[in-house]
Amino acid sequence: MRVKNAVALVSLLFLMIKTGIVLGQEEQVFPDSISFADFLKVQGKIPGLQFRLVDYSNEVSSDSVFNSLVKAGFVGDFASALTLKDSINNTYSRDLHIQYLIYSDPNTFEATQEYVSNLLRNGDIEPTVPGNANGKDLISLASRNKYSPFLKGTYTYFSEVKIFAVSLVIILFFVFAFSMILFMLIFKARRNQKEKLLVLYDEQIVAPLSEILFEKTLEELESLSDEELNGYFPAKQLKKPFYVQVLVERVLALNKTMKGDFKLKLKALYKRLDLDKFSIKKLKTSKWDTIVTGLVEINEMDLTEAIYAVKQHINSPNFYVRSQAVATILTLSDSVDLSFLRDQTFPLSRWQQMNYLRIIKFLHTTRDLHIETLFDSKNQSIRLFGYKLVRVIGRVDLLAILEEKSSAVSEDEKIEIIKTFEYLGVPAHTELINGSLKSENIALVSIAAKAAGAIGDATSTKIICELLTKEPEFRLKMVLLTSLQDLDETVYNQFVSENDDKEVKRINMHLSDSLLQDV
Amino acid sequence: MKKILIIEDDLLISSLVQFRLKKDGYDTVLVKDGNAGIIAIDTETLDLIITDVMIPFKNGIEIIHHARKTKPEVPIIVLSSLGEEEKIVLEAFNLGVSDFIPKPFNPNELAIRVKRILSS
Repeated sequence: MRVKNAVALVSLLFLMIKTGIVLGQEEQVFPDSISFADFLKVQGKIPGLQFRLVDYSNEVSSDSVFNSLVKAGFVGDFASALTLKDSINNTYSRDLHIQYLIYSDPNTFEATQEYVSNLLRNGDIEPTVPGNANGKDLISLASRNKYSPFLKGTYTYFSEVKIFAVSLVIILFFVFAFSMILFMLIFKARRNQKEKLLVLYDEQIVAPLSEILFEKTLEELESLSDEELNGYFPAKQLKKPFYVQVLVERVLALNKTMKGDFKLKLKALYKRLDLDKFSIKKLKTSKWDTIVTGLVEINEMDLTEAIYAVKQHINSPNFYVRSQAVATILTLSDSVDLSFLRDQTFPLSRWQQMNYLRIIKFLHTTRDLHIETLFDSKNQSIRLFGYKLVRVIGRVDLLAILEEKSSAVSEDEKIEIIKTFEYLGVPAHTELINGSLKSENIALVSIAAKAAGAIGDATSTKIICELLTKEPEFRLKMVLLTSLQDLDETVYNQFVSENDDKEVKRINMHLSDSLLQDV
Repeated sequence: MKKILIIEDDLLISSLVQFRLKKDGYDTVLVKDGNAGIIAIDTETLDLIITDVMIPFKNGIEIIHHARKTKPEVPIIVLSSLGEEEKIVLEAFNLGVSDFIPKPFNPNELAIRVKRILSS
């Protein structure tokens, strides 16, 4: 019905566009008196219209011949009237003119023109089309046909391209709108149904879960037969994916909230109910969010048997998948050689580094972590992460390997290695620091100078003095002077006293001020 | 029979706590939000209140305020995952709560604390 109305509306619009034609019929049939006269000349007899000749006084002449001619009566067609008028006027030197009679009543030229126009409009007369008819005559010809609407509300209007296009757009709009509404209704209905099911399953799960956790010991739980277990969680329900999903979520939530033997019971129950298989199965889907959920479940429930499946996702192109996969492996592996991390091709983000570091910091006291593996990675971000790990978890035993590597690494890595040396405060490894002080990279020189202040030697002092004579920029100058003061105060004082540079004097004042020196 | 009010929005935790306390012979009233908690405090005769901090409509601290005004004699145990937030713990103790149990927790440990508080 709405579609029909819409189509009618469009038809109306179309008719309004077409109004130009309709209004055209209201125009004057004869734009001027000349065209009317021309029309009368060619038209011949017109019903109800007659002509006769009269003089200006409208009186009949006393001339007998003249009178006989004029009294001949009414003339039926305008051309004859004209001929007669010209003939009489020329012969008798009179000044007659044509009088227009409509149904025998004399009328003006304008009234006659309107009368004939009406006849034409109503189709009561058919104009005689002369050979040289112009556009106006054609319009007159067209106007004699009785008006009928171009569109009759049938399907013929589809032949008009514009109307068809507009109708198509409107139909598509309504189809799309109805589809959206339908989709929303279905979506909402399904969501409501899911919420109802969730409440129902929650009620079905809570009671048996509480009973198992409080009534059964871990040993009793592990030795439960399938029949006993199905007494708590019906086999029929365990075949329903949504029920299993709710059960998994509830067990995981409890695992996070509970402490002590409850955690062990929950993990044992997870395996007894084959929920571990449900979690591992998620790793085989193509949806990244499902894979991440599966990885989280494996991680939370300590499913070590899934390590191989988890390793398949370590180099996943999806950031979240590979981050969670690495985090899961780090948590689950007993002996972590970190080769899986070494072989990662994607660069590590700061967030990933922070996440892995948090896990490694927690694990490194109980696990045998082969951090040195990371130094051999082809991925620079992994190597940098390895150097940071040495620093953060205090693996002094790896510093020798670091120094060995330092000669053949990039400047970014040198910065990280120097920071590690400085942080761990090992004064033996000064070769790298002194070498870096001679670098063209300002960031590396600055870090090396800072480290030299803590773990540098006499060579470092000499290099710093040389650098200071080269007028470095202010910030580097400040670092160099601070380090020189820390390394050798005598040399520092001598340098300051012999130097007239205003910046050096200002930095010295700052460093000598007990209140400002640490600012 | 001693009556304990449990204010906890997590159905699973509240049901487990309820199950454990019922096992010890306590009568329990379970509510899921702050407003219902305040109504229960006003209408029920209670021996102990166990409340979470992060609950809908009114938080645990507001519940404690209300309980202290209307029923100052009823002991309160706060059960919350915000245990690491010193400010909340201190505020709760300043208001006179009897105990603060951080999540994750052991329900058996909670039952022991309930027993100790109610017997004293």
